[in-house]
Amino acid sequence: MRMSKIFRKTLVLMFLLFGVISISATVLTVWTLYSHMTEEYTSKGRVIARAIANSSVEILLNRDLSTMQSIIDQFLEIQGVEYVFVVDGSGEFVSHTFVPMVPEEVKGLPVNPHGLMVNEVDMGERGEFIDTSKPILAGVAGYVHVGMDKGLIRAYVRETVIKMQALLAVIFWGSVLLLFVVVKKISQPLTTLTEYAGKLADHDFTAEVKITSRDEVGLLANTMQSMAQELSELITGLERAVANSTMELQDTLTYTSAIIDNVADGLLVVDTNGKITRSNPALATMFDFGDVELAGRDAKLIFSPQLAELALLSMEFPGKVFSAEVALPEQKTAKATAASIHKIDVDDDTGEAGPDLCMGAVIIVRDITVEKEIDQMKTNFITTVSHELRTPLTGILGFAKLIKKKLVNVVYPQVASPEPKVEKTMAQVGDNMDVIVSEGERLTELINDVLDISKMEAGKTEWRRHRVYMAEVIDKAVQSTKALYTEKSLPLNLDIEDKLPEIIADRDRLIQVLVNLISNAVKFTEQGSITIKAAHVDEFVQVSVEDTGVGIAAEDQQSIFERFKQIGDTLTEKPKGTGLGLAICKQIIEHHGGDIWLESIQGRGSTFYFSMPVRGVDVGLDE
Amino acid sequence: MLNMARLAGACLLVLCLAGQALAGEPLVLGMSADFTGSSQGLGMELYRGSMAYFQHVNEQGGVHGRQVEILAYDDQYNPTPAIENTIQLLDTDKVLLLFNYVGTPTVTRVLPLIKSYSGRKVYLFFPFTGAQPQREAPYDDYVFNLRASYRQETEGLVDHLVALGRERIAVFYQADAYGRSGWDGVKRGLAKYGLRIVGEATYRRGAHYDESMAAQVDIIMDSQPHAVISVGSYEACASFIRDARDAGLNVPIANLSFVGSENLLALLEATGNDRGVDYTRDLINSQVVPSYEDLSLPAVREYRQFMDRYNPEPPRGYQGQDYDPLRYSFVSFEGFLNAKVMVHILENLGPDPRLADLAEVTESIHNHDIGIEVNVGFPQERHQGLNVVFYTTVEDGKFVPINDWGRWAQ
Repeated sequence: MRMSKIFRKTLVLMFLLFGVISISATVLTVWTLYSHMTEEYTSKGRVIARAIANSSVEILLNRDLSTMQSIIDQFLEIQGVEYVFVVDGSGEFVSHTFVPMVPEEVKGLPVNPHGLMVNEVDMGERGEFIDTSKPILAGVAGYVHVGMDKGLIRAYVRETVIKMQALLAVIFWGSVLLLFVVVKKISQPLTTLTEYAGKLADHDFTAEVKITSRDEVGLLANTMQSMAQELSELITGLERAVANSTMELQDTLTYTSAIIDNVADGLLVVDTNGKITRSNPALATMFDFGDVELAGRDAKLIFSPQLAELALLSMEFPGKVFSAEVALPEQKTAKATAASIHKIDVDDDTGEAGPDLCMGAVIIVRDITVEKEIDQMKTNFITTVSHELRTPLTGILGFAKLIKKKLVNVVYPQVASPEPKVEKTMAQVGDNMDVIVSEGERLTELINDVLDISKMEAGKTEWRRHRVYMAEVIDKAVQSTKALYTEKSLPLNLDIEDKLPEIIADRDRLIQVLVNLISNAVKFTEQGSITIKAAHVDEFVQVSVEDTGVGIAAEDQQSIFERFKQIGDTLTEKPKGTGLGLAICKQIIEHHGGDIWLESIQGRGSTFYFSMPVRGVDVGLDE
Repeated sequence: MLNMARLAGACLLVLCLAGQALAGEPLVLGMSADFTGSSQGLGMELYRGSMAYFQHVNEQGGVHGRQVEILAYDDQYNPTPAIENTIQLLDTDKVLLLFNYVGTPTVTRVLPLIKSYSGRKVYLFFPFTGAQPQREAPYDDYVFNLRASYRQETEGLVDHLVALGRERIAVFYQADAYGRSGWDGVKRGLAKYGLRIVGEATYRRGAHYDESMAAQVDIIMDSQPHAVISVGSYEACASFIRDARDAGLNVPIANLSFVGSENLLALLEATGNDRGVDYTRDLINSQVVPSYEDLSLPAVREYRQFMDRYNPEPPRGYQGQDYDPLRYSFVSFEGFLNAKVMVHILENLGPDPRLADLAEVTESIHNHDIGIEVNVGFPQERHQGLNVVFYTTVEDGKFVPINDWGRWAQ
């Protein structure tokens, strides 16, 4: 059985207490007893010596030694008397009780002829003795010696000590027993309470504790029981709330899972180490993984490095979305869009946002094979059609110009007739011929643009690299559009920053962009002015073309750079361009690593910006 | 145990008294001796020797028509029971007189008690001890001795040994009054020649034969004695002789009469036979009665006849003891002679001894012949009947009188 701690502690205390009592009592007893016994033995020895000395004068003088011996033998029976001997006047041992012989130690012991004398005698193995000598007839007849055994004193003291210790031991064990009973009575309910508390700790609120005493322990038990009851209710409420929450959470999870699992796009979630934590069936289907379990595997080893890098990139730049095209099996192509998952812990107490914690990245993969194919088909179609159109169109345009020339130069002079009707017809034909030529030229331009953008999109355009000064480019563009804005009497303002850095670009293409932008500005501006600005902004050279024209509606601003997108009602109004200009501009600028965008307020004008990176590779330049 | 025996003895005595009422009350003599201790042989044999004669007298019709009885109690050779026994005998049993007490330490301590009863005229007859106290004032008035004293025995031994050239005499003695008495006798004997005891060793009274006396032998041997006089009881003396002979001490060892020669011899012979060693050589035992082998003496013939006829039992209450009675012994012979002198005194007392003066009657005996060639008398100045010492040695497993001392000449 395990000893209770209280019992152990009290036991130790009691043990110490008893130890102190035992030791002090023993020391006191030994000291007292020893000194008293020694005193008593000494006085006993004195009395005996005196008694023998007084009664033996006659006997000793009469030389009856057997009577002498008989007397001293009697005293030997007294407890503590170890020996008695009588020496006569000459110092000879005339009577003694030693066996087998008189020890050397008692021979020649000092004596006092005038009275008692006490000596300590150490006889080695035989022990120590208190020797009391008494002269008989003032030493004339001799001396009597009585030896009291000190060993007996010791034995007596030892016996007393042992008895005392035994008694103390009995009391001690009695006390231990009593202590045990008392402590058990106290600790039993405590132990019960402890067990009860243990059960409470294990959430066993059905447990009961049976302590009916009205003492502190009983009070504690009652308090604990009511506490347990309250805890029980509290926990039951909590459990219910948790169950509800869990159910809701499960619903949400199921809902979310269903969405994720059924979305057509592939979904991939990786953690910060690039390990896959979640994917959906669409992804598996896209990459033709079958039933392979993806969770927990390294995305790098399973997907193309491109995809993995995308994820890492997104994690590096939180809040930004990165896209890339990735190859799928069976010559398919997909577009992957990655965004990082971030969690910001908010401190409950202070409400402060903790450090931004990146948890991974989510990548949406969309199969764009069909779109790509359609796009390709469209490009091919346009290219083919353009080619097929340009050849006959060139012929038509050439012949139309030739016919008009011949008409004006050859035919009209020959048929010069005053007839107004003829005159009018001839004028009409001339006009018609002009329409044919201008429409043909417009058609040629359109076809060229279409071919141009098709080439660009197909990556078949040959780009050249020049050192380009933006001021020069602007100057050229302004020169070539002079006819346009002067025709509409629009003032063109230039605001070009000094010392613009040179850039590396295809000069002609850049001029083409600017011309396009100026043309557009002129095209949509009836009055006001056009302003061209160039400035060095960060690492870019930024150019803007501002007009005071009709402006562009907000909903159109997003698609303005797409192909064949033109503003205005194309059904009622005559198209004012090919609809490919801005798309080409975008292609050119983006090819050079720049950006193109616009700001516009409808009815008040538009500003088109583009920026070209200043940095550039200084090799392989075409000059 | 002792009390039970005492009670049993008393009851039997009452029965006896009742049975012999017509013939007059028996004359009861009180005895205290060792019947169960290390000297039980002395008590037993002394009693048996006396009873041999008393039985004869009783068979003849007793003394003045009264039977003579001995009421015996055991004291185990210790003074305190001896004193208690004496009080019991005198106060309760109201014996006629005290008779055949054994031992010096016991008798020496009983003497003052007897003296204290002087108003009742209590006398101790023939104690089996040669010590001085009962032979000297103030106790000699109350004691009548038959045997010679230890002084006489030891002086005689010393005389013979010195005459043989054995002047270096050591003493082995019992550490009590008896031993001191013998020691004193030897000392006195030697002093006559200007000699001293060369070595002495003591032993504690009550020592048994199986105890070792090697320590004492060592002490005695260190003194290189020419002879050793041993003053002890038979078990201790036999043990000493055995160990002395074993240690190579081959000088003569003399023992006093108290030793109980036959008991001593029996022990030594038993061991000697077991070990194939003769432990009985060179032993000189002084005796205070003649040898019971001397058939020329009428008393010896009578003694042998009565012992053989009656082969007396140990005293009532001590018959169950593990003790083999001796056929003859110096001790029982002494008891026999004690009884013989006692009967003579009782006869002289007349029909009612209580009315007579015991001391006066005893002191009136002069030159009384008891059949041992030496006559007995108890003059008032000397209450000792005999003054002869007989010397014996072992021959053919018996103690016989020494005829040739010359063999021990140094």
